[in-house]
Amino acid sequence: MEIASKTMKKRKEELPSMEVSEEDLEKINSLLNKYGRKRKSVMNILHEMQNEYHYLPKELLEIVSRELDIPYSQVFSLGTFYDAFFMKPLGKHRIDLCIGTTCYNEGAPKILKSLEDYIGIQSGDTRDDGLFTLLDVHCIGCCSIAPAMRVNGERNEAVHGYLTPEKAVEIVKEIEESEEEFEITEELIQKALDYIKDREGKIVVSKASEELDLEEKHFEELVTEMEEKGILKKK
Amino acid sequence: MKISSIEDLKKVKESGIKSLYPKKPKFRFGAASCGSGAGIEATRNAMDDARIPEKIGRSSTVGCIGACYAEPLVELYIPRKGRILFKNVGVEEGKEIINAAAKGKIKKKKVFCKIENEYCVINDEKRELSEFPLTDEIESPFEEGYLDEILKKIPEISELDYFKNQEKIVLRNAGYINPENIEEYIARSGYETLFKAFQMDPEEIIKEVSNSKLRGRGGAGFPIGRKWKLCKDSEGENKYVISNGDEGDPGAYMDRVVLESDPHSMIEGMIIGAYTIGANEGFIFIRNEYPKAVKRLENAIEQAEKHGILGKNILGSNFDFKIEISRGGGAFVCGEETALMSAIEGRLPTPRPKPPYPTESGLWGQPTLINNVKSWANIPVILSRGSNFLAGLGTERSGGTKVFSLVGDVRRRGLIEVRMGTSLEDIIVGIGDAKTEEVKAVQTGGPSGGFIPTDFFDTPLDYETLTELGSIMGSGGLVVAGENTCMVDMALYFLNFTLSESCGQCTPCREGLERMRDILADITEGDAEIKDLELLRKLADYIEDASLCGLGKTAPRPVLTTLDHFEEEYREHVEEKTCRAGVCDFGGDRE
Repeated sequence: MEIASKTMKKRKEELPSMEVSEEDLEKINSLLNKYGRKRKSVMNILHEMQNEYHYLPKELLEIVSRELDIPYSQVFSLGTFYDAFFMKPLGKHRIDLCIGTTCYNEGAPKILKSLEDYIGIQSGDTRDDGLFTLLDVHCIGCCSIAPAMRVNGERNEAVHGYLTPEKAVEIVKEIEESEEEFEITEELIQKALDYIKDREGKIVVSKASEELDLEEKHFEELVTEMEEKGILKKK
Repeated sequence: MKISSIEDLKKVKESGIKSLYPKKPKFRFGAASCGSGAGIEATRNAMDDARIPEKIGRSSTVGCIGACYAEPLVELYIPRKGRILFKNVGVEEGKEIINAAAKGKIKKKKVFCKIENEYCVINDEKRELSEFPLTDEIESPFEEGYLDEILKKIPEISELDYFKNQEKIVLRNAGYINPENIEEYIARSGYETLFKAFQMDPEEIIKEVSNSKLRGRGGAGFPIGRKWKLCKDSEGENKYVISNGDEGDPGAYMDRVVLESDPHSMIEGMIIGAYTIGANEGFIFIRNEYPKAVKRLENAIEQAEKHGILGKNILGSNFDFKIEISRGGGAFVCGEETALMSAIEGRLPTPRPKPPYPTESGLWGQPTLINNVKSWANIPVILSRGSNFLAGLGTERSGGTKVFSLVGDVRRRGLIEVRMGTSLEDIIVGIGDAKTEEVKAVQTGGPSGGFIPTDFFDTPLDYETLTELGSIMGSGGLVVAGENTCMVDMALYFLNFTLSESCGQCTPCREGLERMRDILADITEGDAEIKDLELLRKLADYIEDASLCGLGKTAPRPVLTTLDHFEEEYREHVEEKTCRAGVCDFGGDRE
């Protein structure tokens, strides 16, 4: 039942390169202005960079090194020392499974295994389609609802508690489903228009979702999305 | 508004009291990270959707009252009556509760307890909620007679087994106020002590803190008053104060709850500390794994600045003080104070030898006062109630209370605060409702602590007694291990943890722990010999002696305490290749 912390392994593969655009320069500049061009600002800047790019692009680290007057080797070592930073892009959805003492005792290793099997990657890795990164992390401080995991913590702070291997996989599946592009057909548009005419008419929703084989909630979300994109206006 | 006099503060307090006790009933939702993990957001959304604005006021957020086992927790505040708490409220139950409330009814099914009498420890004030709001005409759909009948049957929170032996000092406001509203903190007499402190001579403050017998709540237990004195007497161009919120121990979440539920209690303590030693700049170092705590803290600092509680000429005095948040990056070693200070400076967080101690040469080589989040939160109570009050709550050697996160194999999990000197039995059985015969041991102090078997559960807890048992007080994680926990596997778990968190600077820790880990792994896989147990002890000795910092020095403890108290289990693994807990797998289908 050994979990060697796989998040620690920072692979010695070649780091990705990026072209630094005007926009990137602006972003870095505003961060430098916000936190000040001092050495003590470096962690805050790296954190924001990690959130924005989902990794620390080495080209931008070079700029940080220059502007804060810290040798590049030292900025780089901060990037690789801390578990919070990644030198290669993370997936779109980041799953932090807690392996703190309580979660571990309550079955986190089995949950990790089931997540690894379902997503098809080892903890610490990112799936080839870029959708998921799976990490086992040291205690997220939610021991009272162990076993727990956090999905996209930086974005919406969602913590899921009282997990079982099945429940954890279910959460991942839901994310996968929400990512599936639904084809916008004439039929869907017509049904959406019917629905808008009569929002209270629950029958329209249940009928439409049945005929389109969709969850009711999903149908409603699609309608909102189409409204926002202006797809329904043209009709 | 900027507060520059005690009258200004009173005005804000009045406004805060209105927000705490409005004229209409309202719901409050326990939304710390654990509440959110238990599903409070879904419950809240459903209940907010079902709200009839004419009957029920707008809902708000509170932090964690500590009864994590009852989450999601929903509070119904009723004007001139009190607060009724509902436990384990899912979406459907939530809707039923709010629909009933709109009709003036209480849904009894999920009722947890009531709060008719509120207590503000800071100024020893008892508030009978039947009197609040004080002046406003109330609007309530509840009928007086009906409510009284119902309330009679609901236990007061202080009567519950879970709460009755607790003493809330650090957690005094947690679960009572909206952590995002500074006025509610002030409504419970927050920041009044700060005025008092500014009238006091720093030496006098230090004397009070010393006499309170408060000791470092990060775990090491250094007397706080002495630390303050050392720092005040050190000379430097600048001085700094730091709050250490790098709560890295797995199984512990006390600091998170303080920061998510009542950030101002810590901020007030920090300002007093800064005034005492003469510092104008402070840092709060907080784990990046706590995004909600970071957000609430940012908000708290901003509100304090707006109210003139941080910044220039605080509260009309001539004292300036500002606070910055410094986020960690997920490195356990940052909890070590010298590493933490390197991290704030933007350097690699590797510890350095002590002395010099931070009080003499800390951040940027200047005298620095660094205390744990909970230590800071104690300070306002000491100054406002007097040192004897806190000293009287604890033991001979250690004053005040201790916050623990009580988790693992107990029926009632949560965050508790008890007097120093309370026995493990009272905590684990009395508060946690565990059955002693189902418990094997309790783990205290995280990876730097050890396992204490049930035989010692009658020991009164303080720093010394725990050290005598081979463990440490630590920051306050209590993980109760039941019959299905394998002690060898737990020792291996903690070594894997410390090994992956070792900064790699010194050899005993970096290499020694790895060798210990290998031996333990062999034991759990049935590949060890009995003489390896002796080797484990030897290695542990070397590592304790020769490591540079606390991380390495204490890392062998989980192994040593399990070896001391559960040697049989080790022997069974080695000699019989069996694991009584059924955790270790000696079979062929192993990977």
